[in-house]
Amino acid sequence: MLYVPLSHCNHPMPTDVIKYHTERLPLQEHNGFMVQAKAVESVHMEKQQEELAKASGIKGVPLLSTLSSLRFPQSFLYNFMHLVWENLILNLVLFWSGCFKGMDKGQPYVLDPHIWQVIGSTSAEASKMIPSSFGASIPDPAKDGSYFTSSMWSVWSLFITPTVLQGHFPKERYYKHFCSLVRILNLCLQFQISNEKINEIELGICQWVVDYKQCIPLFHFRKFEG
Amino acid sequence: MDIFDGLHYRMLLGECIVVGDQHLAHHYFLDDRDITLSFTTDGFAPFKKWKHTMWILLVFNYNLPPDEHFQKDNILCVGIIPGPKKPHDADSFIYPLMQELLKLSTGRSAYDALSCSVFALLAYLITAFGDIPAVSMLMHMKGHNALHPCQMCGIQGIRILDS
Repeated sequence: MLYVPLSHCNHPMPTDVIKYHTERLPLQEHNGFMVQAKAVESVHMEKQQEELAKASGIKGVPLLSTLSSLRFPQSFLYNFMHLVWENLILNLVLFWSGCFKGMDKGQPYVLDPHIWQVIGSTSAEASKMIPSSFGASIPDPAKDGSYFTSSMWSVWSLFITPTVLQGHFPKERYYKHFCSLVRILNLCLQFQISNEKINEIELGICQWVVDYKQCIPLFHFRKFEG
Repeated sequence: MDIFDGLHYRMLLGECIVVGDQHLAHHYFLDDRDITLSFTTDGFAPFKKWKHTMWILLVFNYNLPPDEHFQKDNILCVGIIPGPKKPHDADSFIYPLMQELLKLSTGRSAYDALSCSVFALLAYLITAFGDIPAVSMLMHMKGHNALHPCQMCGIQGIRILDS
């Protein structure tokens, strides 16, 4: 399993001291992407190809690059639905319920199982009071999390969690951190977003990631291989 | 803000269309009737409790008003990859679409009912989107479990030992 920290220097045995700044990530450019893609295809040995692909993450020249109206990677976008509702929120729920790949034992963000059950049942009850035009009614996330659709995760995160999670984390910072995410998601979902708001969203996400890496510090590093 | 306010669209304005090694004479989006398209694909399981997936290929028309882009009646389904597994060579399935998109970027004659005249209809694909596995597949990238997991930047991951 791989993890991408913002700084590799807390690694028990750092090989390189790599540090990333959330507002200045090493962005990929179209020409650079195409050079790397062609380089992989120019070697004929399978082993060499694999090594080059591993070094850049690019396996070869995509057919879509024949269209000059597409830029790599700028034209290729991840869906909000998959990225946020089905990955980010789902993973946070796995963290809180202590089910994230069996790695959260004793972590300060894990909710007491009894509390998580109450939060789940309260959420399902509360959703009955929300008019259906706001979205689908939700089942109990503590029991039927796997039945949740993206729109259910959306209703739950935006309208229900800020109330039902309050005061339940072992540390208040986890609640505050989640609320700052809900604020950003609300901004993202407006029908009209001004340039100013785009900047606010960008900075908000950067800060959320920095806080995230601080919220969950020892958990990953303890288990790093040398 | 819309796709037309985005940096990518703005940069295309004034650029020449390139097909193979040929630079064509016309620029992107010179005519108000030029069409902006987007492409997506995703695997779905057609039957409950059946893990096998089919892959649907969809094209969207950004010239429609924003609240109509993604409505069912306006989605162009350009193909379905029958499965039952994720396609080994997705490019072979989108090849016919690429041929048509290249033709559309050089212009096809169409009739404009407003001006009662024939004109060259042009359409360009400017974005492609999907979940991470689908986008990785289209881009020929190794995806989110790779040492370099991000499609936009060069960040590098490190290995965690399983507990």
